[in-house]
Amino acid sequence: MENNTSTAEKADIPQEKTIAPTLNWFTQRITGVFLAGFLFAHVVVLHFLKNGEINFDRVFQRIHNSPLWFAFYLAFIIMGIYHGLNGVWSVIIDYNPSESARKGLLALLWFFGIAAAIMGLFVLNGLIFTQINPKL
Amino acid sequence: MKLSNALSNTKNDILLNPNAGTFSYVLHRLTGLALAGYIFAHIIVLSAVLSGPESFTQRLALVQTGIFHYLEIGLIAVIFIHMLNGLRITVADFANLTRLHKTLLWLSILIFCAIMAVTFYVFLF
Repeated sequence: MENNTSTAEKADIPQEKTIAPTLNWFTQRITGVFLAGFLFAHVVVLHFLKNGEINFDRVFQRIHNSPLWFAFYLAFIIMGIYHGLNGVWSVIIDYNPSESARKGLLALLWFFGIAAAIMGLFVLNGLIFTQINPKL
Repeated sequence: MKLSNALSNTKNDILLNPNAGTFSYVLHRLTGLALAGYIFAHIIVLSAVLSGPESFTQRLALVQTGIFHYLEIGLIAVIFIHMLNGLRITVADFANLTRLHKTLLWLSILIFCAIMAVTFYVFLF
């Protein structure tokens, strides 16, 4: 018996001629590897070696005016938010939502992602580049 | 597809294929969603710095006392479950080690236990 329909057609999966899903898979792996390194360093410094309560003065002393910590946290914030929301997106498309739901949810994820990134950069600026003199 | 149908399909998939890979997939998904939520909560807590240093110190003190000290152990567990399983998936994907994925899983469980032993030592002693 001839069978000309592809598995995707039989399963009623939309036939998209786009590399977007593959690109999402790939960037998720790449950011994941970077985040593993960042998050490991973050957990060691702020949870294992903290030795007492973390407060403004301690964070300020550690990272104030440091270009290295700025680069670290800049990449950390952007990649973290991207990886998190890209993961949420892959959960969403796993449940095969309608085209309009897909568009709306994607817009929502972009909105929260950009808002969180902007807020994160303001926080980073407040801890690294402000000219506040901490009471040391 | 209705969400309730989708969720019951997921449940059926788990029941049909109850092996290590399925459980690590479920754990990866749950920890991933938890961490995606955590990063937003984290930024909101730290945004106290925008109201000045005192505000930042007060807000941080709030999330470092009492039950939060013990919740931190759970957070570290969630982070390393997701991180080690993610690295296992990445290695299997990129190094053609799909056939070794169960061995890799046991290896990541071993590393997880070692990290959690250190975590309990640091937090409880």
